[in-house]
Amino acid sequence: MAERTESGFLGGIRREFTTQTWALIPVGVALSVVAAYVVNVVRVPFLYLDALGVVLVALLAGPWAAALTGVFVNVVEGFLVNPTFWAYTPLQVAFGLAAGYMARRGWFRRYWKVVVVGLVIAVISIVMGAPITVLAFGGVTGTGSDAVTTFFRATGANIWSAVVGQTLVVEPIDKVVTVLLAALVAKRIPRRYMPDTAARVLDREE
Amino acid sequence: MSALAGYQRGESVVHRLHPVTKVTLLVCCVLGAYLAPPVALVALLGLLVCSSAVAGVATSVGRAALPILVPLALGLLAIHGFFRAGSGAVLASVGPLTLWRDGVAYAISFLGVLTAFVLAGLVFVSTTHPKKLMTGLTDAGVPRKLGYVFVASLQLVPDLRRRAERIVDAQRSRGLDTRGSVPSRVRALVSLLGPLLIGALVSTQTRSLALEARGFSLDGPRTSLYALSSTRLDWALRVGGVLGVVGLAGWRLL
Repeated sequence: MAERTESGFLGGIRREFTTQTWALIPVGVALSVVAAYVVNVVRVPFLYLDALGVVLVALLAGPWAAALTGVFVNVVEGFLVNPTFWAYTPLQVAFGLAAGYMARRGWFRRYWKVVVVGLVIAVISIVMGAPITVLAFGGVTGTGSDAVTTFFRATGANIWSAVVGQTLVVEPIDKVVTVLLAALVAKRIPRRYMPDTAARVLDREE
Repeated sequence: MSALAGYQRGESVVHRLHPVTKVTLLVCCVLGAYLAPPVALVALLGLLVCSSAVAGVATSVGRAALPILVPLALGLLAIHGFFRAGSGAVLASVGPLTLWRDGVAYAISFLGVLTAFVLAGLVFVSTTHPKKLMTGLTDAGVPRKLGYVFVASLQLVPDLRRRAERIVDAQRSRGLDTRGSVPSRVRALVSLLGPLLIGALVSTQTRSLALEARGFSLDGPRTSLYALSSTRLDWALRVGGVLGVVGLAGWRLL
């Protein structure tokens, strides 16, 4: 492993990847994949939580470890569930980077800031996800969200507006809940199991 | 979520191809599906069906593909069939709804592309063992640690899922509300995901000790259980796939 004294951008990235981080990344990936099962138990509509593991790794390890988690979430979901997930890999990478850098700058220390992080991630998801959905999948996702897209089409919207409209309805809910859950769960981790690389979470609520 | 697709043991030609060849062909099939004219797309679909039959995975691929493709097909028909008028030719009209001919044609051609995408992915997944894929990619120069992350993630999913099932049972027996109002169900998620993550984190510490004890962060060459070699067929398919995609891209641009 690199020495702790190493500085600069690359050094910072290298410091993020301790052996514990490497062991944590598969946990984040599996958590993102299994979250779909847990959501199915409680049945909340339009909640997917497939970014949960990425945001948690962003909190516990850092932005670049989270970006790598994002790559593998979609590779593994493509392997186990549905190959179309492969097309959405860039989104998860961007979520990881955004959540990780915001966590470093203290954006997870208060509830309202956590909501802002969720909204930022939702905006990333809309800006990057809508073109993939329209260009690569003709506007469909194969999930319940298609009903929302059809509704917007029925109001006379073209395919781009309909897909953006759909993501505007679905994404902010999913991403804000994802980020809040990640923060609440991270806050409940006992200190002795907290990795050294972890950012501070919800320690300034009042 | 259920694991629909998955590796099917086999000794066919498709199974024995070098993993790098299969990754190359997968990328070529997906890119080719988007670039190809309808005739070539039908040929590609035929090739994919044939290769799944040769590999003996046709049934499992079909069973995995249907639940993915049917919702996509319905979505495409709803979004394009009813709302893309095109030249204005009507296929059918029921009450206030009109099914446009151009819209349906567009939906079908797009479904063909997505079918090729999904079939290529499923044939790849069901004929490539993850560990061989990891070995193949490591030999080709991909960092070893990435291979570890990939294989460990795949193995952790069923493990974490069993853990999640136990936590759901345990919390339900303590009176967890999974049927109430939406806010209370979101709160229920915290009490389900908290123990799941903390349990996984505890095992992460043990695992990182075990990894260190086996020299995870040491540099230097490693030996592998799998010996992989590229045959002449591998090279022919790699070159053929890349040339095919370049040809299609060139035809598109001209």
